[in-house]
This record gives sequence, structure tokens and C-alpha cells, in this order.
Amino acid sequence: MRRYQLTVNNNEYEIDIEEISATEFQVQIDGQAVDVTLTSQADAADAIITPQIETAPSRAVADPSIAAAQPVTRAPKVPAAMRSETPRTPSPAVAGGQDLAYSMSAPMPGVILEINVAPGDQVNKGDVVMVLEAMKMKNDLHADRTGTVESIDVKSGEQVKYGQVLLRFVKD
Amino acid sequence: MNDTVTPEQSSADHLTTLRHMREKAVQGGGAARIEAQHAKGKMTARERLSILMDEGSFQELGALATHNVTDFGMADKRFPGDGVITGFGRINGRRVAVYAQDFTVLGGSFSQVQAQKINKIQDLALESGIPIVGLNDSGGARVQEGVRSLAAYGEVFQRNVAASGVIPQISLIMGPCAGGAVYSPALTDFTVMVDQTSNMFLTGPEIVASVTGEQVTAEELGGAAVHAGRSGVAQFEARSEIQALELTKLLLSYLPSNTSEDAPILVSDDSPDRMAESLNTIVPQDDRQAYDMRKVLDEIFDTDSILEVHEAFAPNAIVAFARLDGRPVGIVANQPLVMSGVLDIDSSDKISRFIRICDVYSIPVITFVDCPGYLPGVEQEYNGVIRHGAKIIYAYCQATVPKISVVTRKAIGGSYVALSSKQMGSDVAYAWPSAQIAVMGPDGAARLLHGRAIKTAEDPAKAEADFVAEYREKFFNPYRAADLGQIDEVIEPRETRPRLVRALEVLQTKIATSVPKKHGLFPV
Repeated sequence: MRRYQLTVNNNEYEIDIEEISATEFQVQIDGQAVDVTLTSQADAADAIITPQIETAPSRAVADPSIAAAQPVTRAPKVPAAMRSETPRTPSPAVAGGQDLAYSMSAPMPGVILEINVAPGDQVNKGDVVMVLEAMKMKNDLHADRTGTVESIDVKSGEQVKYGQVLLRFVKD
Repeated sequence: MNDTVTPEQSSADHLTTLRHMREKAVQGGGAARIEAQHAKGKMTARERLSILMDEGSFQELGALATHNVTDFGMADKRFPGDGVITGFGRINGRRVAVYAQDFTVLGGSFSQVQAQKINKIQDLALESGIPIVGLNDSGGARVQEGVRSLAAYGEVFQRNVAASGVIPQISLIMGPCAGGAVYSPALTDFTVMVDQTSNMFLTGPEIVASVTGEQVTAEELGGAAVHAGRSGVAQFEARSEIQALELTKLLLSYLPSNTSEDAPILVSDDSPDRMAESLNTIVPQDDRQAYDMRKVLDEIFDTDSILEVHEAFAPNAIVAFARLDGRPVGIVANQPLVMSGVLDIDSSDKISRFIRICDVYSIPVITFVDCPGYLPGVEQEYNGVIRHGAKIIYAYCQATVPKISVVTRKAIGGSYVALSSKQMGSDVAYAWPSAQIAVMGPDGAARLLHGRAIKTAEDPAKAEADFVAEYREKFFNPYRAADLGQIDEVIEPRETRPRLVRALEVLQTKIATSVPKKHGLFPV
């Protein structure tokens, strides 16, 4: 628990904040309990970076029990926003390929089992566009960009080589 | 110069002069340039540092340094600091050295004075044993300085290499980074790129167009998506500058300040004894069906503690930092969901690099194995999958940190040996009951061992099926390996977390000695 003693417009408040989970807090303002949910938090570029030393205002600890209540160093949480939920499929670059940024190639040799899109279709990054059977397993191939399909360069049932171009996107 | 102080001036004047000069340093390239920087969706160097550093902790060095070049009208273009802010301060209470190039000053162009300032802070970081973070945003070498600015790159590289493996070095790319400038980030431990506003390439789109005729934009050639995905040059791709800075703080929390210290152990809310019941059923009965290894890892490690490195590069393998009961660990895992979890050239690079980083910073490595083997193919062999695959073996054998392995399903052939096998120095080797530890798959084994018998049998299909069934029953399980001591213990999947916590607790004082040598010959 953290205790803040603050003065706003000459009114003194004592606020106790207890962390229940990363986003939920039990807050007591002068003994009155309220539930608080944190929806987002982000730093803003406000501290001034100058050649001058900027000292933080000294924190006078009036009540020693507050110092004792200082939380120990907690492990930071990895925010969900930093983890991509989009599945990825590698798209190896092959010699002589043109517009590599707008094409998908076979990540390994195998047989194309399914083709889920047709030229002209709009696909989103992460969509399963084809299924490739290789190494005795079915592998979903995910679009590596959002865009419109220009051409499908393979047929269902076709044996493909490593790095063979599978489909092309319309270049924007 | 107007700023010269004469002896007649009082001490009050001295202070006024200093404060005036400092004020000028804070303004960087001036209001118009700062506005142009903001218009591109980028922050200024000082704004970035204010987010990165703990409030009030930053101390600048070299704020008043300027260049001495007079060619091409440079005499009039003097800005205090010369386009880079250097100094030290704290991130989450821990000491770090930083430098941040300021694009508003002469395009952040790299000069001799910039290099001298960066070199000083590199030396300070290395000697004090603290991490160094570089914020790169520069148009390239300062052409007006001629060959002097080129020589300056060499000075930075030399220090990058001297510090490599001693202190963590993190590079953030927050703008253009072209030509020689790309090699300093490449020599550091981690490179973070910002989506849409940063790019890295040795030769830019114009040169590519004139040499190969291929028309590409800077983003298509060297944007964050390219380097985080296809090339693997960047370990992290951030959606915004703020996210890149937050990620840097987070990454530092898993690392020690230098190679002779241990990474901080922080308090975790997650119980070390927590059982994960869902793991008992996560591996599908059908061999041909994949499952998401990330879900397995999420269940085992401290809640929300997994930070994937190289997330989009070679996604058939997963490498990540995480915490186990608050203690930082490195994870290496196959991802059966992508390319069946095979090992290939790119995943070998990804895994071996990560193991070496964990080893040098004393972070235990926990390996999760579900790998059908190496990717077969002419291209892979021609491109040297042997010498690339050797890197994984070298890195595991060389690593002296605690090594624990968990075989979740397939550990077949060379991949069984390469991925942290007992014989290659794994301290504790666990296997789930679903493990299949064998030299080769049953179909291949049937043809190899009983090919003739199957062919001459009355019903070849039945003979083959019988043999496959026998092989599966005998060899496609963890018990043969456990019998021989190649697996220390077969465990219930739900017990994995408490088992790992206990094993790590014992291994935290592990000591391994090796013969002194100049350096090994890592198969690059």
C-alpha cells in the first residue's frame, strides 16, 4: 500500500492506494473507500532535459510508517500492446525475385493443400491465405501484409520449392 | 564570439553567460526545426530522453561542445552540443549512460565532435560497468567534414566491440540510419526500430535503383518491418517512439548492469507453486496437428513476464526473456505452429545469438523442445545450414549458465542433440509424457531397417504398418531416453512451473570452469 498526503487548495487529504492487480486499485480518500480501474497509462515528454541539474523536490517523510510502507521493487509487466498476436510466416527472399516486399514465398518445400484467397481479394496481415503440408504437418501460411491479392502463382496440390513465389500483392 | 567572458565581468555576469549558453543548447536546431521534427511524428532528442530517464536523474556532459569546421559555410552553423546529447542518469533507479542524436541540429549528421562526445560516454559506461543506450536519428556522415567524420565511425565501432559482452548496449533507431552508421547498432546487443519513422540500409533506394533498376521506397528497403521480420537486423519493432523507449526500460529490467553482476531479482505476484492444469491437455493426440508454444510458455512463466526477442524473425523458433518466481531467465523454444517448428538457417542465427547473450549476462537458459529436425532442401544445404546449425551446438556447449530443457513432443535426430541435450551440458533434462525422443521418424525407420522384409512380405502395407506400430511403441516415447539417463525425469506437464523454479533455485550457485583461451572460434 502507498499513502499520499497532499494539500489541494489548502484542503489536506490522506489517500491510501492498494494495488489489487495491475489495473485495479482500492483507494481510500480520508477513510472513504472507492474502487479505481486503470484503463491506460503512458509517459509524456514533460520532464525537462537540460544541461542544468534538475533536482526532484525533496520528499520529506513526516511519518516513518509511510517509509516502511514503500513497496518493494516489483517485476514490471510486459504490456499486451508489446506482444503481437498476429501469427507470422517467414517469406524467404530468393535470387532474382522482383518486388519482394509485395510477394509471399514458400518457407519450406512441401505441397499446397488449400488456397483460401483469389486474385482481387482484400486480405489482412495474419489471415491464413494457404495451407502447406510439409514435414508431415499442416502449416498455415499467414499474409505478411494487408493488401489486395494480385495473383496466385501456385495451384492446389502443387509441389512447391523453398522460396518459390506463392502469391503477389498489388503494389501500392 | 559574443560569448567570450572578459576579466572585468562580475561573477553574476559569468553565471548569466553560462545560463545563456545552456539555454541555447536546449533549443537544439531552433523552433522551426523542432516543429518540422514533430510534423514527421518524431520527438526531439531531449523529449525522448525525458521519457527514457527517471525524472530529474539526467546529467549532461558536453552540452557546449561545437565543431571547428569552416569549409562550405560551416563557420556560421555552430550549435552547442553539435547534434548529440550525451550524459548519464537512471532508468528505474539503475544507472545508465546514454547518447541521443538530435536531428534538428544539422540533420543529426555525424561529426568528429559527435564521435568524441559519444566515445567519452562509451568509455565512462564501460569503466563504470553500466549499460549504454544510444538513440540514433542521423542523416549520415557530415560531408563538410570530409574524411574526419568517417574516421569517427571507427572510433565508435572500436568501443562498441570493447564493451561487447561486458555491458549491455542497446541501440534505438528513431530516424534514418544509413551507410557506416548502421554498423554501430549491428555491433550492439539489441536494436529497436520504430515502425514507419525509422530505416536502416547500407545503400539507399537511389543507389539500389541505379545499380539493380529496382524501385523501392526507404520503408520497403529498410523499414522496421523489414529488419524485424525478414533480415533479423532489429530484435524489436516498436509501434511508436514512446513504445520503443518503454520497451528499452523493460528490456533493461531483465539484464544486469554488467557481465560480473547478476540481473535483479524482482518480486513476482505469481506463486512459484502454481500448477497449470491446462498444460496436461495442450499437446494434441494427433502428431500432425500443431499447438501454440506461446500458450505453453504463458502458463509456465510469471504472468505477463515474457518479452519476446526477434519476435517476427524466424518465427519457427521463439526466444524470449521471462521471469520465473521473479528471477530473469532466457527461453529458447520451437514453435510447432510455424513451419512445424523446424530448425533452419535463420532460426539457428536467432537461437545461437540469444543463448550467447544469456550466457554473457548470467541468465539461465530454459529450452522447450518440439522439433521434427532440420529443414531439408537444396537451398538450405547450399546456403550452409551445416555451418549455421553448428552455431546452436557451439552456443549451448559454450554456455556455462544453468541450462534446463523440457521436451514437450518431438525431439528427433540431430535436433534432439542440438537443442540442449543432456550430453551437451544440460543440467536438468525434463520430458513430458507426450515426448517422442528417437533417431528418426517411424516411416523412415521402417524403410531403412526392414525395407527388404517389407517388400518381400505377402502384404507389404500390413508389414510396414506393423513395423511402424512396433517402432512407435518402443521408441516414440520419453521412457527409453529416461531409462538411459538422457532424460532426468519425466514430469506431468502441469508440474512444469514448480519443477523449473526448484531446479533453478538449486542451480543458482552453479560454477563451471573452462580452460583459459584467447577466444573460441565461433562458427559464424
